Amino acid sequence: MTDKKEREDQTASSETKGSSRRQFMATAAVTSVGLVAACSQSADEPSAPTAANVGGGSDYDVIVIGGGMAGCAAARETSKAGLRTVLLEARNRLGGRTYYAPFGDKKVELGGNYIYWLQPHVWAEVDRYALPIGDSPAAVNPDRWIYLKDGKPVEADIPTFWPKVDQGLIDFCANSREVFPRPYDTFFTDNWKPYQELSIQDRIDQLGLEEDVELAVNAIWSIMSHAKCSDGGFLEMLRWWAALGSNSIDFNNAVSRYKLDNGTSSLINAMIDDGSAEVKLSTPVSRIEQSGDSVRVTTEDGQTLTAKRVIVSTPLNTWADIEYDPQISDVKLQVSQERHVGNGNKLHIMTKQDIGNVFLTADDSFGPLQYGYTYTTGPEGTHMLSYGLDGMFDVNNLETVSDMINLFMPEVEVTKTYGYQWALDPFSKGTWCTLRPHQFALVPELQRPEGNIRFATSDNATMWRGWIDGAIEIGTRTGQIYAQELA
Amino acid sequence: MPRNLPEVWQPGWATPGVRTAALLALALTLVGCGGDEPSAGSDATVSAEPAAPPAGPSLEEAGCDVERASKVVEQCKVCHSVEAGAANLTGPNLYGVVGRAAASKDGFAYSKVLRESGIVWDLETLDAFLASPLTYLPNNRMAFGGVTNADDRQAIVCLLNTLR
Repeated sequence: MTDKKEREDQTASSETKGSSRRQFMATAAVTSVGLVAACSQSADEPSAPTAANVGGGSDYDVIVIGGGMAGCAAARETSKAGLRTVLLEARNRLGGRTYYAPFGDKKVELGGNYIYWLQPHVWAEVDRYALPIGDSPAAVNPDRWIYLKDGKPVEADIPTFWPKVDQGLIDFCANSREVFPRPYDTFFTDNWKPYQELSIQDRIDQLGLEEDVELAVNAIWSIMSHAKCSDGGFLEMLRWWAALGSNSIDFNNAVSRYKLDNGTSSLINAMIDDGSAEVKLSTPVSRIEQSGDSVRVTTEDGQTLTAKRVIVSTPLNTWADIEYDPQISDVKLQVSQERHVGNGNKLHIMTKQDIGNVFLTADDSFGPLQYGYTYTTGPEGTHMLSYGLDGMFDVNNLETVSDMINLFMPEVEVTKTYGYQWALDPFSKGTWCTLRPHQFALVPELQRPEGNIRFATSDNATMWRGWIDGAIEIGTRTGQIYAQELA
Repeated sequence: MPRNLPEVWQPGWATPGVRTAALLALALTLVGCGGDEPSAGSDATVSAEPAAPPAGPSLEEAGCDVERASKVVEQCKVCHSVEAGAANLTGPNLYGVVGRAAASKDGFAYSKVLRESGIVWDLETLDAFLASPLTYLPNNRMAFGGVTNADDRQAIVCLLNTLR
């Protein structure tokens, strides 16, 4: 009932105000956590082998590799089922592509953070651990919308512009219910097959949008996919739309509004504390060997650990950085090496002036920013979030970022900026997952186990692939599969 | 716009000059120069933290660009602690980094390339590293593109040199 009312409220207000329906999106998915000190194991504890690998027994029942949302969910499930579980995390913090970190006098989300009540797996966690929700309504209620056209800022007349853009999004996704009648099971029918080679740009081109509307539609889908529209698969975006009930209100709410009030680390910590997995930070894995009923994991510094099962919860783009014996399937290897297309920047920008609720867009020909919006604003200045496709943009240089913002708003003075550079992080190699067109059909293979190894990351989840929800979905399910197998 | 170079960097060499010349001179000054730094030798392998660390110079005393350094260090502190004895975070604790061998902070798992680099962090190597960590040392794991503004970089290196 809550969402119905919310929808009604928003519909009503959009009719009277025109602009308040335009909630937008911004991103979904990525980042990591911080606060390792709050986790059950000490961050500074050097990882030491726990047991000699001798005799026929394994050191552990389950080794989970990767301590993001998926790995922490998986380790919770297996450890709560009574299985001896160790979680190996390469970085000196948990969280993976979610990262709740200090910046100045506040803490900010540097990666994935948005969640929504129509995302069933993560919302179950919100309920289970009674995690408070933060709302940033400014993101979906801009007073000004400025977009770049031929390198120059254009001030949109929101009451007339948004309805056209909204219709563009609706038309883009017009067949979502036919293609995905059961969005939680995207392969329930074969209706997706005619579209499997279609890129996002291919679909935009079919719509015949007027020029300025196309600039906005391109900006929106490019930032949703975090890639050029010619790179990301149309079905990836259609899947999100279908999962949200095929409407732009829930879509916009889901992509830029609600998050965990105490940070993504509050969920990571809750899952770790709920289970009893041993956590080893700063322990990158270099090799996984299978023989008989045992899997042997070798860490970068030469320790070996053995287990009956291994869950690889590292990002898809890094799967190929581990050696496997026997080798994993060609498809898994090739998809990892060619990578999914999600990559780019996410920036926190503070301005001296209170610039109000603004929304900035640029199409995918402009790398530094596709999508920017006010997060909070007041007399002390405005805190903006922006997302762009250029992962190498000099995000931490005040002058570079000022120049970029001043392209949209020449009068604004930027006082601070920070973005974590996921593109440069060897343990992420990108941001949230958007598959290339041809990769969509390969998801079942990406989920298929390799002997006693399963891969479980948001990047190969079924429903909310690329989101925190997808990480929880596949991490929980994979942990449960092994819990049952080893029971 | 030359910055005042902190005197602890270059005793007897405080005349503001062209920045590149200054940095070069600094680099030369520092080679083999222990100065005030506890263990600046290239064979230093452990943290130079004394048991009871004396307070280092303030940013003002060190001649740092205080405003700039204070702003830039916020970016460092997203991933690094700077206080003596504080835990390593996503990155290693930076207290005492100047004069320390690369990859020598206890309890932190560094990349192979950093462990095998033979680098000792001094004002020159820090400046070069921070300009573009992945250019200076490919395949290291600091996910940071660099402090590309030379004044910012000089300010932050100056600040790091006070952490002792």
